[in-house]
Amino acid sequence: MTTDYMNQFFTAQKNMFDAWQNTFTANAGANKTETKPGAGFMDFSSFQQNTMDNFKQLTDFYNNMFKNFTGSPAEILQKMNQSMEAYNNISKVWESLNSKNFTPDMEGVQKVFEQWLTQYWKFVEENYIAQLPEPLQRAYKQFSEVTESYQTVMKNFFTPWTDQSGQFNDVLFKMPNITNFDSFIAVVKQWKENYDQSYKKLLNMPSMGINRELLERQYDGIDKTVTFMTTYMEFFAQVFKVSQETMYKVITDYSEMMKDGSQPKTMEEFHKYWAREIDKSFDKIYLTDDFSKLMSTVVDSTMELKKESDKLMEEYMAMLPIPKKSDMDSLHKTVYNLKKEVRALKKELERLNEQNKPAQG
Amino acid sequence: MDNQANVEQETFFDEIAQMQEKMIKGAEVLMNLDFEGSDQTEKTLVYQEDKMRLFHYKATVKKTCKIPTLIVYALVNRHYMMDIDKEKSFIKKLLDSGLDLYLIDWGYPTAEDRYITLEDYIDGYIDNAVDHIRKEHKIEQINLVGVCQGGTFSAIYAALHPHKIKNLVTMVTPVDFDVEDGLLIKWSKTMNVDNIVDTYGVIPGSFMNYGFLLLKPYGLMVDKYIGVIDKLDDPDSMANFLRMEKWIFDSPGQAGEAFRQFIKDCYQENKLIKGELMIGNNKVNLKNITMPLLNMLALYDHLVPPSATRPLNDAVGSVDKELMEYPVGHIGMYVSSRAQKEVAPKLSSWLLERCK
Repeated sequence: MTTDYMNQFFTAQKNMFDAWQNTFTANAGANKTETKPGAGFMDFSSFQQNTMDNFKQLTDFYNNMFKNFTGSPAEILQKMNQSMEAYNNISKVWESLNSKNFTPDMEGVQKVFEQWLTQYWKFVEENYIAQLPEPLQRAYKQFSEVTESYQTVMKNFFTPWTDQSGQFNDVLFKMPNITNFDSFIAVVKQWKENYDQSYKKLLNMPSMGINRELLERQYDGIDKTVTFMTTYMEFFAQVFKVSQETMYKVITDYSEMMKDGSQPKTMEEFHKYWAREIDKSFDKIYLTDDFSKLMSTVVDSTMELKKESDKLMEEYMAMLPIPKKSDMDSLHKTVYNLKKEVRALKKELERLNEQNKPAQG
Repeated sequence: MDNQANVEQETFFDEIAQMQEKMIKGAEVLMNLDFEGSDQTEKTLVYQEDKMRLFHYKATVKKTCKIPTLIVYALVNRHYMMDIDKEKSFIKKLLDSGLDLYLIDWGYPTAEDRYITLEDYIDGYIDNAVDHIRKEHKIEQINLVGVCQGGTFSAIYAALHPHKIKNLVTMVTPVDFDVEDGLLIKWSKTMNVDNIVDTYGVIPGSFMNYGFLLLKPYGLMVDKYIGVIDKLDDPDSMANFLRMEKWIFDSPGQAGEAFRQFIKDCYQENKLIKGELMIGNNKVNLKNITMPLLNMLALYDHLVPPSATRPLNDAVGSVDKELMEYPVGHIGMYVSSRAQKEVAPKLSSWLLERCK
């Protein structure tokens, strides 16, 4: 079920980028006789249609997004299975640390860490991400797909991108490891900066014609999507950076403890030790001002995207004989005000009745 | 070292094998498990206004306290955490001590409730519930027990209507939001609440849950489910676990306007403790709380840190006031063995002593 939502979501994202890209490239739009780059910019019909479909997909995704866990036995069992896998993955580290071949030196530490790292993405995909909120799920896993679209777009668009595409390629398409999370975050930020200086300006150009408002709204939606994706990437990179750094520290500390025999003696002890360390690491980063700001940016970009897609949906449905959310909000406001007035009048009436009661004697 | 490693590996394989065996057996336990039993203490609906319902609990013993007590729960999550099951019911424990209990059930806000404000909740629903009880019992004052955000509401209410409250009890209640050790408080400081409210209208409960889960991502999303494997072959333990699990994710949406004001005025601008909070046209002055106050907090509370709760005792005008601190977590205040042995008995005896 979750996979369906996410596939739906990422397909929508990809389609939107494709549509977006086609609009600005030589062969864009329905009019295939245009040859100049950017010519498609003036022919919106296919883009508009695609974007409409894509936003519908996005909206479907959002509609399903919050149908979540209810705590039923079947769901608990599923969670336990997932958690068991996570536990097994940690246990493999413990197993390696206790194998005959392990030497408690830097080389040994590095070897165990790399073995763990190979399993890490499997762990992340199947356990950790699977248990995150749907909008976050698989966003990180799908990096390459989305960034592939980004990169294709980059190739077709001006200097900020071509100058740095090699660097982007190196960082974005390699499996993140302990040494390149920071550069990954830096590249995502650089990507966004380049976008702000190029595509964003194009998207923010005033539109013309009868569909002016709708077009501007669609472009705004694309802009919000880009902000949403880049913010989420940074967020995930920060979260996974903490996990990886903690595991590296745990393995290093464990090898040190082995020298005087003070290491956790059973898998259970090792797991508890690791869980304690990971909690400590998260607490540390969570309490920083930078992470708070990142959290609020993530939430904000999600809200912006949802708000924009809601508005677009309303535009598309304007001609249908059904009330829109904004109509209902207006109605609810009226009902709320009326209820309040009725309550106040009732209280006033009760007070007057009380006042006018003949004195009992 | 080799021998030691071999022994440890054997133990390790045994552990994994045992866990897997439990998982397989556990599937059958889970499929046939009855985990009903929450919110079962007998009660009657006595007043209703929009989605708010006021319940009166049936006495389990002869009432020894003539002054009825109203429990105001938070808008987040559901009140039945205090009545999670027969054996661990905090409510039942209070009833068994002779208290006459009422409880507000806030219900599940829907789209039409987005405009409900803090004033509506506090000066509307709570005030009407209090008046209903006063009228029914033909008395001027009742006891008020507020839980978490419901405690903040209760303190505000008691400050606005001190003549209607005989005794005030606040439990795991935030009043000072200018603290450094609460993640929710820290994250809320920079949150663009206008954007959230304008987007959703009524904030989905699951949106709030994601925030709570993120506080301890590994512990709450993975480790908890590993820990439960040990209980798999014990239907009673599993039923307890599932009741809690159901409660945790049974999260009502949040009425947008009330949420907006609560986050802005309390979490971001800390107006309550500063004496600057406005409810409608009335300024809330905590010094107006002159009735006896019992302030109870949980020392390991990761949602409402003790530092956010303690300042209430200095902020009120009460002479008879007491602060109780328990080595439990936020929920442990109601469902732990300490809740049954220490927290509920303390609450009851404190109220009973002041019921005359």
